[in-house]
Amino acid sequence: MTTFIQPAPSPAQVVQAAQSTLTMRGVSKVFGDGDAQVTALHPTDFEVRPGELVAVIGPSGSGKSTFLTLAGALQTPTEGSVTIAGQELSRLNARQLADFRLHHIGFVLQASNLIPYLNVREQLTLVPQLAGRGGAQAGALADELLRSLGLAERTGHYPGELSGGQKQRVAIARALMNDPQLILADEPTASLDGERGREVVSMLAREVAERGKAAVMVTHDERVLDLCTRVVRLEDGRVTAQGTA
Amino acid sequence: MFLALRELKFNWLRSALLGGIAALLAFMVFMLLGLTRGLSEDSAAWMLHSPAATFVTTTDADGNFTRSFIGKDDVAALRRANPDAAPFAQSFASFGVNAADSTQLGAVMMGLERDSFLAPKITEGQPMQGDGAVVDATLKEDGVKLGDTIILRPSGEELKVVGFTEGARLNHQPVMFVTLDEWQSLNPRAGGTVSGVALEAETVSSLPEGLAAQTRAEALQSLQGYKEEQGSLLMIQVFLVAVSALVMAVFFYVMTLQKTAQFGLLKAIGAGMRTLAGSLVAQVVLLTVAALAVAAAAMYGTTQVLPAGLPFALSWSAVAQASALLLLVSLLGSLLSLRTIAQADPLQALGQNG
Repeated sequence: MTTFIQPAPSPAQVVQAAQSTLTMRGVSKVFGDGDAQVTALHPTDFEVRPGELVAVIGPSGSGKSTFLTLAGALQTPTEGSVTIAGQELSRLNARQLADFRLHHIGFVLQASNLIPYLNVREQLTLVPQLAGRGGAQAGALADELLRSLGLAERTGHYPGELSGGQKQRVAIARALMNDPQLILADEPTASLDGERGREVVSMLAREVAERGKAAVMVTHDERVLDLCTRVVRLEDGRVTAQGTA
Repeated sequence: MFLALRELKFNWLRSALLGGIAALLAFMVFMLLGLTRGLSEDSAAWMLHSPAATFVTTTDADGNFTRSFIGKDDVAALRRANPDAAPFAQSFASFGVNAADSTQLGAVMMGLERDSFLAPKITEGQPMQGDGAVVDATLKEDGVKLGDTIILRPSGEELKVVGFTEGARLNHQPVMFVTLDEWQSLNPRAGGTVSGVALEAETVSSLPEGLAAQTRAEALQSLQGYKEEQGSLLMIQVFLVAVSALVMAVFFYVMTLQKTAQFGLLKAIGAGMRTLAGSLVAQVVLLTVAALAVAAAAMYGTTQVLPAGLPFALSWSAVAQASALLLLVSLLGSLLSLRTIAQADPLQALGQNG
């Protein structure tokens, strides 16, 4: 499959692109056992390379969330292997997995998922602080990310004082704080109107391209698919279509 | 710690309410501890603050001073072997002040040698001598002054109030100290016997036949009604502390339950169990310590305006002990909440979509 990147990648990113950031091989997830078995995801192969923003779409119950939690090392697959940034996840224990998530995966969660009692800048600086790397450098990175996402005026505000779009941009900035190779976004436009949704996703696409990240976005918002590099359609736990948007 | 402080500050009203409830509980614990200890002081202050380590009574009296009569020979034998032995005699007295038909007051009449180690510390006036008595300062509330005449019932013998002492109460009554000789002459039926012999030492050398020694703690238990009263008071304190601990634990637990989703979110962005647990414990400690400080200040303020006759006794060391206990039980209570944090699932932070 050809990798379509927008805008044009820098030479360094092309070299990186040779190796995919997220690789899933024959990954499936089955819940329950015996007669009560439910297959949330049938064996699936999937890859994301640096600079790509891949949209995963599908109706409710199609296995999108399961797909994202497997890619995000939040659940272990029943079969198959997940490799992120060259690390096979099945080789890590629970504690190592949490640490791995912290350093290599950035989550963009739904709009309400900011910590209500921290201001915008603290939402960001908390992440390296949790990883034991606080300090001026983290503060500078936070300021840079907030500027880049158009939130420079909002650094001292609390989530309750932000609009839905602003909250989502904070969530994107937060996901980038630990400089992860992989970014996973869960319905980032869920609570936004069309215009705000497009704005948020285009910012995500821009950051992903500029910083050479690999990103997967679960969404049911068809209006933003043109901003993505590729679209994967899931139905009943099976990939039914995969191709450029 | 950072998260703990930010959350407390952001939700300041909730923090203040929670801290306020903890402070009220702690205030109640302090006040009731003070009152119950005050009652226990009132019933045995003279013995609680006595420098005596050992009390000797007759074996058949089983430590009860009012049922013990030690003969002169035994007292003399005890004094030969134990130079500091201080005999004392105890009876009850009803009396009028300055006029035989005035309101009758009651006291424990205690006969002592004025140079023995048991002799009361004089806070006002002179030591007892002849018909001069030293009485506990709580009698001032009944209008007794230095130089007043005490007219004993029923036969009308007279004593003079020559001095006051403090902390001399026994069986919820003030103690009236007279010399041992005066006591013997006022109580001829005692036939020269004394109620007990007190020693500063923990052990008694050559105890005569028919006498038994008790430590101060044992003698307290033999004091009339003391054990029963202390049992009730102790149960009040135990229930109070237990219920306060439970209430505080439940409050912190409910506070934690409400935040389960938030814990999942924090876990999803990389917070470990240690960070979250540390944050919770820091909040519990901060709120509880602040509440205890407020409660201690409130208690101090209240004791300044309590009526003087109300028995209230609480030392700062007792406050510190009760505080440490409350802090400990609220920390134990927060262990309940740690389970909730451990179970919080970062998956919950991801939406419940397809």
